[in-house]
Amino acid sequence: MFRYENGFIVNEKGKVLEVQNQNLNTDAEQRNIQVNNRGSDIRQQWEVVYVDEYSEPKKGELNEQFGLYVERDFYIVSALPSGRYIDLINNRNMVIKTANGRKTQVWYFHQQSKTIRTRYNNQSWDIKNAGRTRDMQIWSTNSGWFQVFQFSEGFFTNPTNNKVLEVTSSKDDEGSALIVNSRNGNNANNANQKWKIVYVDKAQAIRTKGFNKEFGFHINRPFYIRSRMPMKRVAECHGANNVWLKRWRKNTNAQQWYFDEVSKTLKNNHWKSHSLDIQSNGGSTNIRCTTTNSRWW
Amino acid sequence: MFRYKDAFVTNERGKVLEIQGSIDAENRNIEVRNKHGRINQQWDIIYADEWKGEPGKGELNEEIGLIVERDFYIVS
Repeated sequence: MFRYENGFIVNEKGKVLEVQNQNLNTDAEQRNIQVNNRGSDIRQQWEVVYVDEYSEPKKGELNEQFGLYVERDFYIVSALPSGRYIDLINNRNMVIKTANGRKTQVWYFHQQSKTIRTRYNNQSWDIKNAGRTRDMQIWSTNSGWFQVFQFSEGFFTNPTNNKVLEVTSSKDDEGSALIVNSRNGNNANNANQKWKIVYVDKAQAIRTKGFNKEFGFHINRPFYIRSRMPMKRVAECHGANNVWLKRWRKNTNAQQWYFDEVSKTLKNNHWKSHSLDIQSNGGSTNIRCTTTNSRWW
Repeated sequence: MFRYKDAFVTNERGKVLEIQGSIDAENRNIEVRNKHGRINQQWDIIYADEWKGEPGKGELNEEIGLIVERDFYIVS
């Protein structure tokens, strides 16, 4: 026989229901429930919710506990000055990058698992090695404590270890890694821990023309990159690979480039799926014209 | 990702486009290097819809100071 009193389910000998074992993994699927002497720990505290009053937020509704709308796509923008978006490198590791329109920058809250997932492959935020490191990645959804984050007042907080998502070392650079760390407070010095949610259905449409002041180019308007050396040769994409200096030739699209607002790269006007690129993932000095990837190189 | 400012095409790590070896010739590779500011790192962005093309026969090449394919003597 059990009674419900002030958040505890108590039997007549004073024992209360609790979730077995006090550790980081207590709040997990298939944990045993047992009785024990009453304490003050949250694993002994329960709410009785009548079935006719129970409901979970549905798609498009706000989950107030997690601060996110269910299955409503969003971007996550860093409060650091460049306003980069949370993205993935190697489709695995979480980083910040310039907005590029890829699905790896689109996230949603999954009500059933209580995790934040990527639209790229529906995997969830995950602290690497089951929470034994600080590094953030995406991984198959398992709803372990190391996959659960709540959003409130600009912070993504793991409710089990109270660590928050941050840009490592406050490096406001393309590809800076994300980790979890202790919260620094709520002031101007912790911009690397603060974020803004931009729901995709409220985001401004990508511009298709006009001047991008940050990059110094008109959007989608073909141009030549012409050397100031005496012969005034131009940069040409040769065979969708090398970028050479060549004499200007009329109506040669391989000599024309345009700034793509989505990928933020300089695309070639003949090889339209190719962008100006530093060879070997930026490890070389040579310039190539390769498949667009929006990485820093 | 590259930005254009003050004649330089620069990436976020401060490297700029330059003509390899500063040799102004056909098929020279273009590469990225630390910025030194010499002319082989300087570029103009010329939008194709504003490009006048090169002067044709009988037209003045203003930069060179001569009319294209118009015969002339050179007198001391």
